[in-house]
Amino acid sequence: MADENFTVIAVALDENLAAVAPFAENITYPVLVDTEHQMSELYAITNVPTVVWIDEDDRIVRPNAMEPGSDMFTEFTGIKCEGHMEQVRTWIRNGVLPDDADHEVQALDPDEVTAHLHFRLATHARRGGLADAA
Amino acid sequence: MTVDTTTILAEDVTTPAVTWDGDRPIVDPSHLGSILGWDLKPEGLCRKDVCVPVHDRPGLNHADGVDLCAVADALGQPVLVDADAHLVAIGAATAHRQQAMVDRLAPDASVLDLQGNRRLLSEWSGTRRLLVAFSTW
Repeated sequence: MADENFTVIAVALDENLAAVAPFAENITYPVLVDTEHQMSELYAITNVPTVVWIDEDDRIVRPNAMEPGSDMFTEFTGIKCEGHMEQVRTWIRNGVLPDDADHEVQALDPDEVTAHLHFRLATHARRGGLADAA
Repeated sequence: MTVDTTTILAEDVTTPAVTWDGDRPIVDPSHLGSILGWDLKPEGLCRKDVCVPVHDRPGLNHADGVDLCAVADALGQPVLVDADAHLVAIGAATAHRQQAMVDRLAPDASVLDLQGNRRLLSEWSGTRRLLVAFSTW
């Protein structure tokens, strides 16, 4: 589907680029790392894997959906390619969204916002600790 | 009152000199731009051509600079302070966070590529895309 004005953008919720690199081997689309937890905070992503469909005008056409029981990453590498990918194809080729595209996403509540900040402090401290140990 | 290098985790990570008044981090106003991306100007807190008016201007001021928590508050950004470790984490503004939920417009975010370069999600604007969040752990 590469020619059809479509791309996958994989973003690892991780701090360690080296840990993500093996996942990106043989993958032709962008693999990025949300080291500062900016994306997960702005998109209220609390679970992985989560998929957000965005159209060419930056509209979120199918908000955060967990894809339980399937490793999306494996799926996009072509090892598994059914179900969800069929819906994606229908969207790309015909502009038709699945019936569940219109669901609401809950904004992070204040506790979750604080939890994100705690997580950032903790991962930063851990990185510092690892650097000291090394 | 102690002055110390402090690590501030906001959109970017910066390590300015910070005066600690108990658990309140006080910064030089000229550092706000690099710390938060917003500069304190007569018309308010400004980023490019956008300005947020500050209702309690005196509340930002401190003998040694400006109170970073009060500035973040004025911008609607949540703050978490670890005064012992000299660490401050500042989250995205509430309004910005709600953009995805209310307006259904994909917010821009700054991430790293595997070479360690800063990239913006908006680089892929203009194309249909699936944003897939995953984790290696």
